[in-house]
Amino acid sequence: MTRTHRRFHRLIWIALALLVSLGFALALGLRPAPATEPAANMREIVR
Amino acid sequence: MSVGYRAVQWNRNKFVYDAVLLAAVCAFIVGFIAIQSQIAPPRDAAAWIDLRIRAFGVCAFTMLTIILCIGPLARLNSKFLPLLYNRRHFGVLTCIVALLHASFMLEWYAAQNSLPNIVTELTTWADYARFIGFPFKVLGIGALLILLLLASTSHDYWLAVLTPPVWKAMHMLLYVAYGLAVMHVALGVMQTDRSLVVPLLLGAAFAIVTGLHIAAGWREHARHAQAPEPNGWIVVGAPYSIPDKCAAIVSAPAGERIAIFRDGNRVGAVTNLCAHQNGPLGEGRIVDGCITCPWHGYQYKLDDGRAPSPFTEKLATYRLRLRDGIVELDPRPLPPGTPAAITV
Repeated sequence: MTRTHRRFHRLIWIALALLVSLGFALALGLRPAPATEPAANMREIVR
Repeated sequence: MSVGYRAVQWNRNKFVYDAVLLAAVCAFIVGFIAIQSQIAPPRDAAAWIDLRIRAFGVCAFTMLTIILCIGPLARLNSKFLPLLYNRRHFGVLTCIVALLHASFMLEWYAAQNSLPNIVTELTTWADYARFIGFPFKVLGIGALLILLLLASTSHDYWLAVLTPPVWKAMHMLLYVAYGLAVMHVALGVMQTDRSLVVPLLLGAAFAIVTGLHIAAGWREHARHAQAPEPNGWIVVGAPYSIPDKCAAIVSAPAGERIAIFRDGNRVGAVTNLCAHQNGPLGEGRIVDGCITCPWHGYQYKLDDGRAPSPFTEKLATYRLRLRDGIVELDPRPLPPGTPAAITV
């Protein structure tokens, strides 16, 4: 690889590591709460 | 080496490699569908299509992860070099699997007579301002478009037309495609599937790929440019400090690298960039009297940096001299193909 490729390679992986890690952490932390249990749901419907 | 723009030159190794690859992909997809359909049997046709979407999506992501590990592994340990040889076939197959994943998605909408819904989904501009709820399919489409561009330009014809530095830079878009694919999964299936399996596998895959690339890049960065002597020559060292049929790599003041090979009592210096894909020639060996690139086996004569006839590639060479038993190098390149090797 040329010197420019090596520099680009280093920069893009550092940028990707930061951006994607942040995005992944946010996506994991902000996951919506699990759906109501089917049994509980049924009880609601029955009521 | 190559003669003009010939179609892919098939040989037994390539057939075996492709057959093994195809068999592994088929086994993965069939196995995934078999296991998943046992755990949660699909109830209708749409659920079966959904299972296919997942099987091909997981397969494409796994293949992309493996492809991205091969490069840095080969830089960190030469034992992985054979995996590099046919990496382009691996890449093209990955693109095909990803394309099938997308086509099954369209089939899923069509099966429910709701094809216009996908247009609505992609053009609800307010969703683009949200993080959770972002139209994650756009990220997948972006990654797929990059894969299509790279697969369609993977032939050596495009390598020659675009020139190796431009081609190589363009193919680094694969890294961006991987980032998009990770977020496609994180904002897509990871939001609907509440188990820990998806985040664990996704996080581990991204951490491994990123870690390997940063480690390989760091190791490369550690090689500083060597300052030349006041007379402009760079000290390489005693000739026999270069292992026979191998190279010492020095960095010129401008930053580009030069490979100094020794074959018995002959020492020659060439650019470290292979004329094919700018592979690291100095990490290769002399095979059958020729410098052989570790990436795809392109060969050049030690004396003048020319590929043996009938091939036409030429490398820039560098002047060497022996002073007080020490090899010295002039870092100014000679025109490609200029004889410059010396006897020590």
